Amino acid sequence: MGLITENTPLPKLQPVKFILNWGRRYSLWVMNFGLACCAIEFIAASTSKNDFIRLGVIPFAHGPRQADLLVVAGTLTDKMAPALKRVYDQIPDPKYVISFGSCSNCGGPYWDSYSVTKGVDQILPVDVYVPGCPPRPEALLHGIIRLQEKIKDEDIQEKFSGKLTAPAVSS
Amino acid sequence: MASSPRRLSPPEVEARLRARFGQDVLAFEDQHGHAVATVSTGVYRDVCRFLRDEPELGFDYCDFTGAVDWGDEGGFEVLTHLFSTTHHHNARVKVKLPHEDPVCPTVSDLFPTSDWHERETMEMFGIRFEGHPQPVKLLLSEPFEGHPLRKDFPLMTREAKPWPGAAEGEEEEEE
Amino acid sequence: MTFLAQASGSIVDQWVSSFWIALLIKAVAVLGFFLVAPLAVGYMEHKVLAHMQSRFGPMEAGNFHGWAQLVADGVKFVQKEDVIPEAADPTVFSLAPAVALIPYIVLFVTIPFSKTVFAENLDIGVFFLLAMSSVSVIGVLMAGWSSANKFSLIGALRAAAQLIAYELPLVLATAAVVMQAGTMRLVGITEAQGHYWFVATQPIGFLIFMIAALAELTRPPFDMPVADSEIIFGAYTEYTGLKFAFFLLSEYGGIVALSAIASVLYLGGYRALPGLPIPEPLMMLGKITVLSFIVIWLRATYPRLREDQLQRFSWLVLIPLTLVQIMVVAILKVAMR
Repeated sequence: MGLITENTPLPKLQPVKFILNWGRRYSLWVMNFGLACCAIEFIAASTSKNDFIRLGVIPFAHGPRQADLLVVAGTLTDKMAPALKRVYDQIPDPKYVISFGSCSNCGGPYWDSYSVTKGVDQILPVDVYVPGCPPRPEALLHGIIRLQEKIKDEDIQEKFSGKLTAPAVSS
Repeated sequence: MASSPRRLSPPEVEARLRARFGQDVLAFEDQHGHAVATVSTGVYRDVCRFLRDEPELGFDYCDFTGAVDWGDEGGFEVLTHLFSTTHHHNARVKVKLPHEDPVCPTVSDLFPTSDWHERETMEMFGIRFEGHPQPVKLLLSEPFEGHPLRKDFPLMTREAKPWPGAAEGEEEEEE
Repeated sequence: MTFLAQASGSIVDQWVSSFWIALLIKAVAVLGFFLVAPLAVGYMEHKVLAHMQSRFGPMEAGNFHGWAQLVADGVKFVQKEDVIPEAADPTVFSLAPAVALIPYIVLFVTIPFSKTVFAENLDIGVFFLLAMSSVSVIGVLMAGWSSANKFSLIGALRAAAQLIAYELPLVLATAAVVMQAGTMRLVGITEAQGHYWFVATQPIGFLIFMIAALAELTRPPFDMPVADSEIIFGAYTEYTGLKFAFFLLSEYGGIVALSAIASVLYLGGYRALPGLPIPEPLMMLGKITVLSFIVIWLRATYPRLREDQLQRFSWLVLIPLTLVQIMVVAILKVAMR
């Protein structure tokens, strides 16, 4: 008994989870899977004016094995889909996917094409969708910040339990 | 032995073609300075080789090989656009094919560029190129069935879900 | 154990008489320095490259100009899945990062930060340093060979060829310094630079040493073995998580180590410029920082050399120059006796 009861709002301190999430949040090495025009916007986001290294996203990881974040930028055709899945599988866990641009969100302007996969979420679990055709570099920065907020509250056990993560839409 | 650069006008190209092939040149047009010849299927390869090897014609660069589906009445038309890097003149060679069992000889051994272009034409239209070294799908994924650029190919997504909105400026029609 | 105190002169041995406690303190100090200095250089690289490219580098990690970026990288790499390709040789694959990293840690045992602040003043000091930096070549070869990946193999062979080619100018330039100083002990070499730094009499040797050191570390412009637009990441392509972090640590640790060696051999080590009242360890750290900055500056500036240009440069330009340098030093040494 006393002043602290079960109704007292206490901050849930979980130091180990905080540190591990902090490390994952601020050190996202990004593998740019640039397929089409959105790749140019991604590259623009990595240049001096909008620099996503500021947020801890180190660009142009040498290969999938050294990356944590896969940014799928551009139209995914059916012919390219197995290659994308293969690259995604090569990235070691824990990994995140940002779908950049409307072609990779849902097929975009090519929603009625015979050869386009209507959205990469048909083959990969996506964490953040960034809409736009193409999205501005600032939209990618916003998407990354949303992803970092998502990682902050992430429960790593739940992530590895095999359930697909619910996507957060960046608007 | 390349001759000195001299740009031939389309009538001059026509004259040389007709002198060599006579009746096999079915039609000839001058489209914006380009010499366009419709030839019969049997001499397609010989025409392309003639255009390439003649020093005054010298069409050594194949720009593209493509096809057109003219719908029910027209059949298929395979066309190859050639350019001469010495003389700077253009030519197009067209071959008309029927809708049923369209077969055309390949020019990929004369112009390596048309290797991939013919592969794309094969998968998009269903035209068979005889003598092509590697007639496999180029752009479409392996399990794809059908030939998308034919006029009678349905866009499946639009059949499953109708076109959602009107274009800019048009009015919505009341159904 | 006063024998040790007299023989080595290390400050640790003067304070602590027990051999084992002294050893423990030295090991902890060397390890601690090795875990901090490369992270500082790595952070400096992010920031220097960024400001040279008109942008900010990491700003968020740690809230004050991203100082904790490399720490976050470390925490992240610890959590990554450890992937060993199925066709790879698991033992060699797992040992390669250690073989590449440990020699650079061991190097720091001999580096003196002042007349008494060092771990060991080996009488084969310089020889030990050069031998250790060559051992890490084996780590790269092991990594490339055991990865069961064509590109890794090509990268490893390129790295091996490059490192062997540039080992010679490194050794010969060092030989000229040893000749001028008359001793291989690092403290002795530093003390011999009492009147003037060796860079004044051997400027070409200094340049050759720095160039050869860059090539030893596969830093740009000599980073053909790890060129990511050409062979993904060379020998380290298949490495994930902590093993990859060890390779990165060995690269930055190598920058610190070779900057330290260069400042001992040519820039007077911990000796301050006469008249400046800067404490000796700080002087040494300052010189290491300046040389690391130059290494990073070169990365921002130059495109990479092709493999054959690289080899040609070493065998046809650098080695003859070092031989000339040795001759000059020998002649002067005899003439000015």
